[in-house]
Amino acid sequence: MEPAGWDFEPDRVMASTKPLPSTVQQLHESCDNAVTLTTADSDRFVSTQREIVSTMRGAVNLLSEGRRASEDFSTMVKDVQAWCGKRPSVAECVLCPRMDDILVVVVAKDEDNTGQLDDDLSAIDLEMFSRNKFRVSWLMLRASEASGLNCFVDAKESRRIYRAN
Amino acid sequence: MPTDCEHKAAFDRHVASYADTVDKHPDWAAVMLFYCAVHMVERLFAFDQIHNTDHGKREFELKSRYQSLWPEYRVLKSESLKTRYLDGGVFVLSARNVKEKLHGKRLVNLVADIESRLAARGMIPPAIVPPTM
Repeated sequence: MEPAGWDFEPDRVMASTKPLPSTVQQLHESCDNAVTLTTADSDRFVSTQREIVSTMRGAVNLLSEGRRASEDFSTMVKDVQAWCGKRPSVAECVLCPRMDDILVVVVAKDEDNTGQLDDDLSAIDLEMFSRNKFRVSWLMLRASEASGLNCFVDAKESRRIYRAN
Repeated sequence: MPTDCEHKAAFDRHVASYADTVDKHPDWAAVMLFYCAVHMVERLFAFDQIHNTDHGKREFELKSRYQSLWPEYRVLKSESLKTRYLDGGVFVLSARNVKEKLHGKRLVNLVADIESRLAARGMIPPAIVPPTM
């Protein structure tokens, strides 16, 4: 019997019907025999066993790299938040993705007359550079420059990750 | 690839522009100081047979090879960016601060570090002493 709603809600119907029988074939990465893959939406791929195994391995590695990058990014944000929290002269910190890097803008509570905050920023920049693969740029704005924050970050894309109490 | 001498000449030109500009337009003088820094570090890279064609590559090489140069270079770059992108004259450094903090501290330290590195390799460059203002 044709399941109700087949034409309109394929996902729901697919989930509620018995799985289609599938033929599992052992693929060998050293074999160049042709294989035809047919997906559920009837796309058809003709490839070799070698290429299919290689593609699957690539996809698995890509997923795993993506997960690792996501974890590294979360760790980086937490580290920057902790770094800000240890510095009484930091008023806020905003992170903004750009075309080819991530910009971290640290806004100071004062004018950083000694240049200490700028030097600290360079130190964490180098530390992060050696620790992860993200391309990050760091910018310190003095309190009197804080009104220019939006000249550097897109308000829609940016995220404030720290604000002093 | 530009030679050491060409970078030295470019450095000298930017130092002269800085000296001409700083009292009237300290913000643009900060840009000149950044380009002084660019040519000084490229001078060092020229001895490594490296020519960085963009800022991103130069920064990567600096952070990878010459970390002690990074704090001074990064600050000079930041102030140059503020000159160009902060709207409405928000750039706050006075001529005196540009002279003391950017030139007197950051650029002079950067130049001294690079000269000592070159001297350590037996490549003692002609003395570069940015003019004191």
